[in-house]
Amino acid sequence: MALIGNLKDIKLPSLIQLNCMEHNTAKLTIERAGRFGFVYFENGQVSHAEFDPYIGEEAVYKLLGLVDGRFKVESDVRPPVRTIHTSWSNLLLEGMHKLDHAQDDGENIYNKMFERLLTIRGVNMVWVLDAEGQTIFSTDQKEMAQTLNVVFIALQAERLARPFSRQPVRFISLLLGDRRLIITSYHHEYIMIELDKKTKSDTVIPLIRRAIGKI
Amino acid sequence: MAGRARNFIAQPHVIYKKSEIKSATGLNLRSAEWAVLTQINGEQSIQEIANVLAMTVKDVAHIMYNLYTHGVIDVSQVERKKHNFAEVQFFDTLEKVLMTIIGPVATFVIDDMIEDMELDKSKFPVERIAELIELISDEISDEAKKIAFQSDMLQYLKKKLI
Amino acid sequence: MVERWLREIQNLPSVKGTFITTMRGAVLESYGLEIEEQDMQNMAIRLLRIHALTWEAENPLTEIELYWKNLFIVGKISQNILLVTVCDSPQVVALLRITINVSLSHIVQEKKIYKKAKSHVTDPSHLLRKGQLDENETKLLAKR
Repeated sequence: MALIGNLKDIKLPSLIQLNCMEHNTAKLTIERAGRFGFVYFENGQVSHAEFDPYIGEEAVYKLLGLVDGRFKVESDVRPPVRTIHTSWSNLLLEGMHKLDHAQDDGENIYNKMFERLLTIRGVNMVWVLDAEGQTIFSTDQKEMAQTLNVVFIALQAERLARPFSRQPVRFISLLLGDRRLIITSYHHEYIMIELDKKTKSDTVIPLIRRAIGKI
Repeated sequence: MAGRARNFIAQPHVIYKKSEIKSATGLNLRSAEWAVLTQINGEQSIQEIANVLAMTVKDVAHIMYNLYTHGVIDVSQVERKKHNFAEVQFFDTLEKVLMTIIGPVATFVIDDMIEDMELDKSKFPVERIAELIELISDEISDEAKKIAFQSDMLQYLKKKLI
Repeated sequence: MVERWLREIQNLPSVKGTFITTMRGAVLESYGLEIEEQDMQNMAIRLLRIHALTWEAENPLTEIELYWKNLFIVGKISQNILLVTVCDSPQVVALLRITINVSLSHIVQEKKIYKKAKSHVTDPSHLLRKGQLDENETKLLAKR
């Protein structure tokens, strides 16, 4: 019987640690936005990995950067080939070290923020938009494009409060049919969050504020 | 262990503090246990920690129990938060009103929603009954029936919450 | 009768006041707010511009909530009426939303309100036309 889940709930380092400490032979498949990655365990060591176009250790390091994605662990599936000879503990250490010192610092910061936001119950997707309203990062590559004119909306929101306040608006919550979106400014950019339709903005905004503030 | 864990679960509003005698350094904790430990600050209850970490009260209580057996949190320094809980009459009214709108499935809808909110009917905080009513009304697809339900419950809500 | 339903909302904790407008931003009634009618109209028009942006989409805007440090504004659109509620802070928000829903459902059934609202039904995109916006706003819309 396969173990299935989402990296939102169990992180990849924990999955690797679990399979290695239990001396498993297994195949871990990860799927995110249509891309597949594979990690093979043999007698408690990571022996092969693939994450197109990467193979071996590099594939593991790239997979460690994922903050969400469906996974499946199938027992007793042998690797087709052995491409990794580093011990699993050194592999994880090196992988986490590479993440901490990612060349693109912006992407690393956003990954951490996405991770925190996605752990909030009711948060489905997160976009980061630049000052012009163009998407620069998204938790789902397929949903990179979004058509809402966030900058115009934020400007209208700021101006409509003028009889009462000249302060910048902190959060905007929009209900569009079944879809609820939260928009907030973040330094010179915007963060847009799609909530599950059952989630109410007032219950989740304090958690979002905390998740964003921690960066 | 299930019985002792149940003692923790039965008190979601109890607050714990880190032990002054033993620290967690050197312990081999799982990431979820570390996450819970970092939230224990003598101010947040199990329920509040569960909300922050988007975990169930049951899971947080289970982890608390493990931390307690390691001696890292000290149960004897528990403070108890006071809560007003919803009366039985509220659930009777709620069920009666909802039943006129959606029929006999009303009981199941209410119980499912309370479970979804990870709360207990016998200890349902008064300050969350409006939220419960709103969530239940979201399940009513007919707009006229939804308004009728909200309208009927509004009188009760105003008496209890204002 | 409309005042009765607006008062229901205004009686809630932290609510400063509330008003209703047509889809062109014309103020029909207000309760509790100590600001000029022109200011209410301007607020409504800005909310309706946001609504206009989403109008052509499959799911246009029906509710909007705006959070500041010491201000909370809720806008709800139903049957060609916009109801705006201004609060000091977001308190008992679930109760506020329920009260807004119930009050608005009664308000839209009032004959004189229904008639006025119907006469003001218009293509929402008129609020986004060149002459309605300043230079900055026009530029932002043109970019998309």
